[in-house]
Amino acid sequence: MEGFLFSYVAGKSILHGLDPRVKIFSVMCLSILIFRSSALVDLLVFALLFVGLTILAGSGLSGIRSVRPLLPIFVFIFLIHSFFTEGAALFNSQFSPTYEGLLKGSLVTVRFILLILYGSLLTSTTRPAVITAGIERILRPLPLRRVGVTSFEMATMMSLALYFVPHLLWYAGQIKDSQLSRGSKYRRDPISGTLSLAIPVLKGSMRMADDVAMAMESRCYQGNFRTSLFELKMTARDVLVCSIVLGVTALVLYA
Amino acid sequence: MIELKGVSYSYPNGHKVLDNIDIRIEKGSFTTILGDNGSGKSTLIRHMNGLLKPSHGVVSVCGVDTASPTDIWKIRQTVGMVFQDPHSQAVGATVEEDVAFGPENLALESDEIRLLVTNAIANVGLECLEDSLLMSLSGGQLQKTAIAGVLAMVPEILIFDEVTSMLDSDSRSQIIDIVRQLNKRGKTVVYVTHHMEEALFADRVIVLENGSIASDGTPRDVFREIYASGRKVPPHLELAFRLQDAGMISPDVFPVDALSLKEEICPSR
Ligand SMILES: Nc1ncnc2c1ncn2[C@@H]1O[C@H](COP(=O)(O)OP(=O)(O)O)[C@@H](O)[C@H]1O
Ligand SMILES: [Mg+2]
Repeated sequence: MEGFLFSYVAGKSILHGLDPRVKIFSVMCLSILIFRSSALVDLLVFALLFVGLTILAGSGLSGIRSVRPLLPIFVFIFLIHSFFTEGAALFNSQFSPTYEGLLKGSLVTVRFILLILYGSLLTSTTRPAVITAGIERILRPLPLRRVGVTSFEMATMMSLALYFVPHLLWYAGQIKDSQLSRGSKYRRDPISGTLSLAIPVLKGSMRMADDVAMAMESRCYQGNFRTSLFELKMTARDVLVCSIVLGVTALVLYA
Repeated sequence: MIELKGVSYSYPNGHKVLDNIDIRIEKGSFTTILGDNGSGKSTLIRHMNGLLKPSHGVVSVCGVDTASPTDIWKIRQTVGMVFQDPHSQAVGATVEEDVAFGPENLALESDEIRLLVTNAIANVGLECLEDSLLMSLSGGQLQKTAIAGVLAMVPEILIFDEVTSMLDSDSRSQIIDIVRQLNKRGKTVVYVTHHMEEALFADRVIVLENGSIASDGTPRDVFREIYASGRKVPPHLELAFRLQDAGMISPDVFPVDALSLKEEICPSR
């Protein structure tokens, strides 16, 4: 399971041991700070912090490496900004990147990369089920019942998605392969190609949803109160980390 | 344990699938329900844990009526059900998370859940995979996970709905071994299949045809009946019946597979 984007890497580091709620909260604070910083130098601080935390997590380079599939997106964001920002042209041609664009492009791209990296640090040090349990506990005090769901249902939805999204992708791949092998013109006409793929995938996923709902019901799923294999307990260390993060964030934002 | 009395069922679209079914499943027994696709096997067993309620008649589990809404969760915990498609029963990202789903619904404490999960996973022989992502498992391993998920709720009765039909032959025989082991250790088993070969080691075979019980008895009697009516039975069984009719082997012999027939004809030392 190592190497996939946002996958969990088992370990026993301090970061692995922190309560998921603390980690989720910290990533949220860091995201706010990263979005607010408008100088590359500030972002360097976050990059260094990331390197430090990665060493602490002991997950090595796998977190950074797993971000590689997103490289085209990073390049795309960078290029869009460098070409389409108003400013002094770099070359003497009609279509040229601008100085301002290069600056803004690198700023936006680095921010984005940092967000992804911190996100993957969270997921690589926290089991999916523990993240789900954490989110459940964060949502529990909210008046979700008024909109007709419970925090437990939200959490179950998330853990179902963790299996079903990759499974549906696999399933779509299977259907596409079988269509191609029967000589479909999938590649020639993108619109009808997409439709002829989407319809069976949609049908299949409805059938699967029906089946899963039945399996869940026979395993006594009721949507209201349930417990978790992974019990969450805030320790003194969790409280300490939480207050440091909160303190630093407040200081940076309001000082 | 489970009792169906005069059960008929029509789907909401009016399609009548079950017609006046009477079945009693005894504690500790191993019952196979055999029938062609569309004969109503799934519809029948879904009555046994209250997923479906009969249009007519009564279904009770350990004396409790499945139509009573307050006892339904107790019934579903007593009667565990494993389904056909290994890919559409997964409810967690990893094996242990998936197996924990049932006990979590019963709102048990996390150390209690841990114990049940570890036990259930050991029962199906997936000890070294408990942390694996379900996405990375084979169909057979997924089906074992599904069985563990049901075992973790410590049910007394286990129902298997064509659980091997989407698996390769190796995983298939592994799953059948697990089912037989569970029955030997005291679980009541209802095993649904459309493969005659998988019906041979049961204590009792119920043949379902177009929503009615066509025959019900020991495998020997039921397969004799099928053979006598001129329909196909597994080849080694046909051979055994012919040899019996010719008086060459004892009429008491009922070989569960070709190997045990061979042992009967020429025992190896
Ligand atoms: N949800 C449903 N609505 C209407 N008809 C159904 C439904 N599910 C199954 N059936 C019909 O009921 C019959 C028996 O189905 P089923 O119990 O699944 O048979 P089996 O499991 O033996 O293959 C089939 O003819 C099938 O088309
Ligand atoms: Mg069926």
